[in-house]
Amino acid sequence: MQKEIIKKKTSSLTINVVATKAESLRKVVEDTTTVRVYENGNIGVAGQVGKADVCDVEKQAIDNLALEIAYPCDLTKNTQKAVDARKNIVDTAHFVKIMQSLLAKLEKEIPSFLFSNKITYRENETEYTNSENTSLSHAGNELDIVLCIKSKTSANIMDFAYAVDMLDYDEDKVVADIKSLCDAYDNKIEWQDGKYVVVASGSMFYGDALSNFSGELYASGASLFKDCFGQKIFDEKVTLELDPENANNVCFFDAEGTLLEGDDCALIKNGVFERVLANKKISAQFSLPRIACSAAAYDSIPAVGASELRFKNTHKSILDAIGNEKAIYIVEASGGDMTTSGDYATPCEVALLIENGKFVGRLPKINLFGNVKEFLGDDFVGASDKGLFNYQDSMAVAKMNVSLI
Amino acid sequence: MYKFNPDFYADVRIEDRFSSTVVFKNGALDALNERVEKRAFIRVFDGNLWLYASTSDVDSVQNELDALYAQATPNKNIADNPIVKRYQVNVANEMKFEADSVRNVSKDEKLALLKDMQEHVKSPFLAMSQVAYKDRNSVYEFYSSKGANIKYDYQMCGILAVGILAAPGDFVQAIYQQAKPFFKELGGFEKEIEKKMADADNFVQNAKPCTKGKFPVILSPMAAGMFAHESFGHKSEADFMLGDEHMAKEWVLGKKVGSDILSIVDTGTDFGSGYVPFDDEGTRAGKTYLIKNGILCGRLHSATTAAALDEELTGNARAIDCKFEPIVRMTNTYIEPGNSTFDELVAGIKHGYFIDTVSHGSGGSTFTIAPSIAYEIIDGKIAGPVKISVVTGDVFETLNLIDGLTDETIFEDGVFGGCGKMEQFPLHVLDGGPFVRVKEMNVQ
Repeated sequence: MQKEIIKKKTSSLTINVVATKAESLRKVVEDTTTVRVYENGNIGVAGQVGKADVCDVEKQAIDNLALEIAYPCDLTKNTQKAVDARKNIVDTAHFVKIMQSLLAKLEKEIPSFLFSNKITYRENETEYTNSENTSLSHAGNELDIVLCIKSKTSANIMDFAYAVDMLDYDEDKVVADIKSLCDAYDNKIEWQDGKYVVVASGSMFYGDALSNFSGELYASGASLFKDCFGQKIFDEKVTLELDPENANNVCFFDAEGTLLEGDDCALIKNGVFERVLANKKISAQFSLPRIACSAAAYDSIPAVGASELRFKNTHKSILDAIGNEKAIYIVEASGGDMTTSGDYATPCEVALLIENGKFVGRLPKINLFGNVKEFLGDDFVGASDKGLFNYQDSMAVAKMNVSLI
Repeated sequence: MYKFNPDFYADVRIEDRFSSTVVFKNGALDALNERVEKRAFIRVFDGNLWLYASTSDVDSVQNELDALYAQATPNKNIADNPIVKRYQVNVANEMKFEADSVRNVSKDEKLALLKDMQEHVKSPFLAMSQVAYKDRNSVYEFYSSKGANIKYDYQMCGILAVGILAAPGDFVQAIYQQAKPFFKELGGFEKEIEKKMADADNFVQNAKPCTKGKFPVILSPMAAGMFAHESFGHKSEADFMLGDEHMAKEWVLGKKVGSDILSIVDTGTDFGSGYVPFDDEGTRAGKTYLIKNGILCGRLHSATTAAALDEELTGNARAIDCKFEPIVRMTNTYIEPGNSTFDELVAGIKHGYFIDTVSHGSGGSTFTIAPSIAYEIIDGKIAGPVKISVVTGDVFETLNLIDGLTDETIFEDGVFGGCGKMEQFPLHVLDGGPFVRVKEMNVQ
């Protein structure tokens, strides 16, 4: 019998912000213990929240082998690695005061807007050991600022959001980011239908296409890219990969102790379809190349998940990618979807015009649409993790169709 | 039970949650999981700041409470705080599910149910199948420093059948869901699953791209329920109005916000996914008309929002579990029926679309509905299946463009998924409605 033991500790402090004031402070600490055992091609899993006796959890996992759930046992062998990536981001003993200072500054510098929602400091520790002489551990932390922003004269629940995670906190940089958005929002501009250069988070471009890269669905034939393995399906500037190294507070191994390393993480490499999302089970079941993409609840059998996909940088910065062209920055767009033919559409509630590298104003509400084979094909412009703000995740640029709502 | 300090308001919410999940993929058992978790959420309020703690060690609740007291500022007048004054002091024991708890349903019974379902997930184009069972039984206790002492339970169980159909050149997902409060009520799904599979068969062979633009649209009860939830339900959650004088004027009760035939209700009193006899602040559930005959006539509240807007509590302060504080959420939300038949709604349309099933929706000032299976309507008749990315529109314009409702509200309850609001997902809610005709929506 082979065995895996996973211990996790998560702790968080969360401030709820209401009308630009700190309303509450929430503290949550949680420990979980997971044991997975493998025998005769089957898996048994058990888990416990809070204080746990590993022997008791292991006994439950062994009992669960009787369910005869088939699962390949291919444990990571002879590997030891420990990473403690925690940074001194913010003084948690004075968390409320520090964030009250941020809110006071926002109120003073941007008085015509209201701010609400959450600011969270989070720490995660994960330890993975198995019976094949592997011991992995990761510790990380992050500060998440997710503020809903609303003009005081607006009738909307919220107008747009500022959502960032960071490993270094600078109050002035946060205020500067938000102020640049709010200043542009206040200046309404005219617009007309057409095809434009669009800047948005990478996930807006690939998110609704992701199911087409599910190993299970691909193998069953339910993919827009059926039978395209190894073929060039997008522009050669498109490399889409799991990239935990450039993401904040992401563990360097997945839920099954598989390490995310080097070129083995790319779904699309230079436009070529190289991999689907296939963890140990899906890889074995459908003879697909494996990728470290397992996720699992503390007491559940691992399943495929992919939280940190991003486009590889093609340019030094987003402004470099845009060049001298006018571009539309998508601030708030949600609810879009894609048909099985790859036609994507989403309404966009807030979009800003970028001209000569600066925000100049807010467009009317627009629809954004195009086919994924086009906007990740010939219409793909590039990607960069140096965005338009002090704090911002990787962004991408592509030409898309725009029509006024 | 707990030693509460009179210089603060405090409450303790404890949930003992049993849940189980069983999944078969392509006929083979893929997962079977039974989980029991007990957690507590503790709140302390000093009149200025709320302090919260969550723990899975329910024996440590008093220690957690005392630690929060130590961080807060004593307030001799806390009882006079307008929020604290709003809290109801209910003393009740309302256990409805003990006799038929899903905790007592054996693994074998669940496996047998799914094996029966599996037989009906069939199609010549079937590429992959999944059938799943999920349940939850929660026993809640709620104690407050004002004297509330409540014990009640919640239960839902449900099934899901998914068929992935792949034909040359296209593919589609057929989904059937059913959810009930009691395990013994699950069943009668055979014809429903087979109909979903037949619809998907037709779709995968014949679906064509839609014509993009503005068209009349008929929403199925599933789509109408989602529309009510996303387009207007979230706007009725009063927490977005806190500290915002402009919104209070914009959303004044009595304002005309929809067509005369439109009424939308939220209630936690009825069994279903959104059953909440007491909310997570100990408030007894009520029935709230959000819109009645097109007029804005109510909104959903926690004690904080009710105090801020000087309105009555509605029993809508909910948390997804004891790791989170309660915020204003919907429960069972639905559009009341009208007096037309489905054929009458269709007959009035020369060229439009019928949205049968949907995969998701969202709502800001612009709402979206992402259809799974949709049909064209030509010359007053349902025609062939079409592919639509999203249907969108401005919420208030669309509410005023509703011009037909069928005569029965239909609920399609499910336990796979739920409502998300910021960090809290999924919350069990139930949406419903009749077939709804809208004069014009933006079809993409």
